[in-house]
Amino acid sequence: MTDAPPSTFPSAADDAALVQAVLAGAPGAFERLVRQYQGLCWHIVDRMVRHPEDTRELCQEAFLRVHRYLHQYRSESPLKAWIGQVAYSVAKRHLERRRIPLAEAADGADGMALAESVGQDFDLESACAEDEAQALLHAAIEALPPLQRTVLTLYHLDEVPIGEIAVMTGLAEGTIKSHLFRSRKHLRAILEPRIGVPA
Amino acid sequence: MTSPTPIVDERAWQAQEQALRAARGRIDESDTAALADRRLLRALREPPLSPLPVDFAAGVARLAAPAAAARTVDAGLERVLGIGLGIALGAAALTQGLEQGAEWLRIVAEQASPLPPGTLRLGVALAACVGCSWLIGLLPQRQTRRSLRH
Repeated sequence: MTDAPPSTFPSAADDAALVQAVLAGAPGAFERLVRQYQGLCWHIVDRMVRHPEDTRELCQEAFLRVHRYLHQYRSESPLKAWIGQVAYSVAKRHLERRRIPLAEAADGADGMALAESVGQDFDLESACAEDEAQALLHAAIEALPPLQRTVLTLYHLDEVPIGEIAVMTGLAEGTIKSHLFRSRKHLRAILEPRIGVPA
Repeated sequence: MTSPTPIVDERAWQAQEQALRAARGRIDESDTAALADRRLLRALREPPLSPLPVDFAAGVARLAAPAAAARTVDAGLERVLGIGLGIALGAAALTQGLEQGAEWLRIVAEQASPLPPGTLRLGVALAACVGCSWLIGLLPQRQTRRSLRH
């Protein structure tokens, strides 16, 4: 991980105790579980669908699924990865229903061309300023395909290890690395001319 | 349908990771490459996200409560039915056993006949065959071990 403050996710023992409490119907246990993982679930769904109302509905659906199938959870993978997997599959099915490509843009060039085009319309003179550069990058991130956006957020914001991102998305670790590498390379390429990075 | 993603070269991946790690601690504004990496990292760590509603967890818990209650009722009913069915089957088996147990014992006793003559000899011969096979199987292993020592 490139930027790793301490993780706020609970230990496996804490997770096991929380799962047992929810399964036993302990008052407030499920709300605690939702509170613990709502950020992760929200990030995944929001990055995938980019629509606040849809995100809320899909996150609810994901947690209701978690509640319904929690008895099937085995501690082989962390609870975080299991819940992330549920959230990812709910969001993915939503995109499939709407025929929105998961990893490809409409131009068929895996969305990177779209991300690059963001920089062309941007105010080049003011892009050197920190906030302007952030806005430029955010616009470029938004233009990435859903899968790439989600993988970037999981890795850099939620600090989920690549192995767990692979569990959540059902993709190989090499594929996750490839998406991260290529997305970051393209984003950096958009930024470079604006701050005069030598080639 | 998604096209297969080309696998990234491990060295290129490590170099990119290392550059981002190194850029984090630098504050030298004249190092434009590090500045680009630092800005990229910041943008990645602060993506444009829609805000999570404050009451989200409580709302989901309220939605899940009726389903949980229904499942609890279902599970309770299932347990009661299971116990009832077990008691009924046990009672039926006991009744049948009391009524016809003597008859079953008589039939079993009639069917059970002494072992045919020669069974013991055949059993001993079979055991001897198994023993010989086992001993023969040991021989090559001992020879191999001996040759390894020398």
